[in-house]
Amino acid sequence: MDDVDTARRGLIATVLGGVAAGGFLTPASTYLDQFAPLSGSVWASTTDDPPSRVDSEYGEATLQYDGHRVPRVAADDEAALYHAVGYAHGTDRLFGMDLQRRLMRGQLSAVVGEAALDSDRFRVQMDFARAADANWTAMQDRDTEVAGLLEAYTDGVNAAREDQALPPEFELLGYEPAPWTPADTLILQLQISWTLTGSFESLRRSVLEPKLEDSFDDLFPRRYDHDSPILRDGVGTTGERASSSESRDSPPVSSEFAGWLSGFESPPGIGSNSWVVSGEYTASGDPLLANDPHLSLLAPPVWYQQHLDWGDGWVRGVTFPGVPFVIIGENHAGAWGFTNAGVDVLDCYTYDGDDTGYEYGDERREYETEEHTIEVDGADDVTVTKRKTVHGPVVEREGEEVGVAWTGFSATATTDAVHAMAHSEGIEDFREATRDFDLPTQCVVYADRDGNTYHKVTGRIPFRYTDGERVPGWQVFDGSAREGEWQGYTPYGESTWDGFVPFEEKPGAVNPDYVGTANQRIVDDPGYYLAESYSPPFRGERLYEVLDNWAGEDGMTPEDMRDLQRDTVDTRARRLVPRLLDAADVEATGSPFDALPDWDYRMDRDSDGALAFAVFLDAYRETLYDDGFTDAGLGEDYWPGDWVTVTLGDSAWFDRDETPASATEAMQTALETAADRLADEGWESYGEYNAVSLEHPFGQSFLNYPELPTDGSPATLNNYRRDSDAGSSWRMVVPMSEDGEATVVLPGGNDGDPFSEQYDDQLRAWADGQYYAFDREFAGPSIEFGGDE
Amino acid sequence: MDRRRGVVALVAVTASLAFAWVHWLGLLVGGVAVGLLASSWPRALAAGLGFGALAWLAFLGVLWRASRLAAYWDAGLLLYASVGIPLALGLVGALAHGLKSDASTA
Repeated sequence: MDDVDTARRGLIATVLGGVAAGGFLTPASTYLDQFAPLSGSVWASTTDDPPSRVDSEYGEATLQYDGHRVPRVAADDEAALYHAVGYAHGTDRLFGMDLQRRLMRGQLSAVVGEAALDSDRFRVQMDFARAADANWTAMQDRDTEVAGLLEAYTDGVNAAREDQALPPEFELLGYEPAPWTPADTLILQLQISWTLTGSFESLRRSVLEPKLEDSFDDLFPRRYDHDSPILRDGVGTTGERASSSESRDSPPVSSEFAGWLSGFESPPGIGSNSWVVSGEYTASGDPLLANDPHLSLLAPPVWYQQHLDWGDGWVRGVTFPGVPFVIIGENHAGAWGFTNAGVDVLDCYTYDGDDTGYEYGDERREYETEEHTIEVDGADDVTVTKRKTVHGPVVEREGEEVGVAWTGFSATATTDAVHAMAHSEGIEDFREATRDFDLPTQCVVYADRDGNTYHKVTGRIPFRYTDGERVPGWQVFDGSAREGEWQGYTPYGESTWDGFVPFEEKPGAVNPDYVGTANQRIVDDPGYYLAESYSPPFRGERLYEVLDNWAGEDGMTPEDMRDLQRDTVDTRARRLVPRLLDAADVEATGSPFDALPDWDYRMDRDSDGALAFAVFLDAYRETLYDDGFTDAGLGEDYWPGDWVTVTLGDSAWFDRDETPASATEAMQTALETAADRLADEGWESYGEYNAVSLEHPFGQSFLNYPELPTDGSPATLNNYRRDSDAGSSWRMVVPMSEDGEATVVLPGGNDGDPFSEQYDDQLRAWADGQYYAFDREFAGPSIEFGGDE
Repeated sequence: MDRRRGVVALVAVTASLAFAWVHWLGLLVGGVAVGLLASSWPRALAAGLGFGALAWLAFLGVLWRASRLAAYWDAGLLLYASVGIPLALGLVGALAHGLKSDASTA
């Protein structure tokens, strides 16, 4: 052996040893551990099959999937049933569940770093975690049956977490989820309730009014002028008319602070459609029910479809992964769905005081305080001081603060209600269950197989009192002066709800002919303060227009209901396009704007008119508001809604230096802007403009859904809002007749595993307005539970 | 390659694949094995790449069996990493050919 050989061998040995050592000791080890074929943890997490048998102390149960990864869980005992449901959720959706609880607990920064610190600060100060704990404590005292089911479910989630490889996202982020707890389930319920009712509109309006002066009422009317409330023909309730005690000279907080708080509200587009038609107006003679809740559209979807069978009853529908019970769906006796009611159940308070306490009437009170440490990945931990007043938490940012009262801070019986709805034997049972539905405030519609129909506003609705007088909640209250007090409300404890709107006085209807709910005004005169504002009536008026039309013809069918869910008529366009045609020469602007005169106002993917209207409307909003609001120190988040945009005519707004001289001039300018933008963007069809491009919260491209064109707009019943990826998160049409086919579809897939074929297998059908039969054949993988009693 | 060396190679490749099923080091070990058994540098390097490709094909089989293949093709960086890792480790491992006394033989 010569020296050259020795050197060569030494060099090669060094290379091999270096590569091996580097694979263990350098950052490359993470990539090798995660992505190496065959052994990589990411691959193991997606190819790992659930076991065929799982020991369960709760008894025998069977879980079997259909071809869309929808599980059917069957058990004679309900605890065994919900243990298996927990196992299904833990198998299919554990990452999303963990992400949502982290969001609400203010623990996102611990895994994603400083980008989530603002969110964590807000949610820690709001102390949703303590509210969930209070809810769990109250539930154990109040309803041991449901509490026991929740514990069985929790054990099921944790069994899946321990039995199987963790979902790929955990491997990519490099952390393991903590065990699931009952309070985690309850904090997820708070998450959806916050999404639906957490509104700082009073703060925003208090900022807007002095800045907009005499334009304020034109741009932010309290009531939209339309004739399509949910309950028509004088259906209402009795009660005391509220009076205002609004008396501030200056806004209580800055636009920056109000804007920061508003950033934690739900994104634009959260709402829903649902309707119920009595047998008198259906071809079968039995009721029809339809529901499509409009929530954030994510990959995977916010909903999880499941079918449950407990021997002498069954229920099928969707729930939020992490919540055991079917929330929207049908059972052996009836079907139900929800839309957001828009009721005001949050108030803000200001105080006279200092760092340690605040004035409250004639006395001074100390804040209840607690130090909380937020863990931040890649940075130093951050300490937040949680403060509470009699009203609830105090939220502070850069020296500004408000106290917040929200019904969700109190323990609620909503979980009991949702469980009872699944077991209801008809309308009377369902109405009783609705009484306990404390949060969120919703419009529930129900139909049963005996032919009954029902609508009711759910949730606890506070009366506000100042000096013993009822006052409306559309203002920011002086907490030190004891304005806007809620009676019978205990944040982070159990409320008596004594000072809230009695169940019987909340809007509703038993056995209505038909009721259409689309987040519009519930009733013209409820007799008490109900809501600060409602969604514009675009969908609601179209819904009643079609239902009224069909009511005069042959009986309605499930296919009619599906057509109505797919309806793309945009009543914004019906209002604005004729005005545009009067104001500007669209023919001279060329294609696609020259299609507007003959357009049918349908937002269909291949419609030139739809593309022209959508691009024009974007430009018109900017022309109307951009300069004027910027001059007032207000960002785009403060711009008025589309009702004002399409109806604004003569207004003091046009008298300002920074605004267009008139709506007509704004339309002419906007048309030119729209034509330029269309040329720049290159959209050739409305489907290109209106593409569904849903993203996974993790933000990695391979986790996102493929981009697809779709129909509809934010204002059509076929609902999709491209700017915030919100829309129909579950479409369901359920006839009460025995021979009628119930149909459903999810915007994505039921399986949360991004490598699964069922991750997005329903997306194209959803985008194309197609449905799947609610009835399923469960012949896929199965798991047997039991044997450990 | 004589029959005896062929059997040794088959056993070595099988054992290395089995090791690779539980740890990425198996990909390097497989490259080392085929590199040592190769009769020349070109054959060694080709065998190293071949072992990496074989491991990747076995991996595709795992994904196919689990009905994960369709999504895998759209996995972007994960796809590239899972292709590159076995080829690179197999190739680097095959450099072990140079540890042999007759390694300079063409």
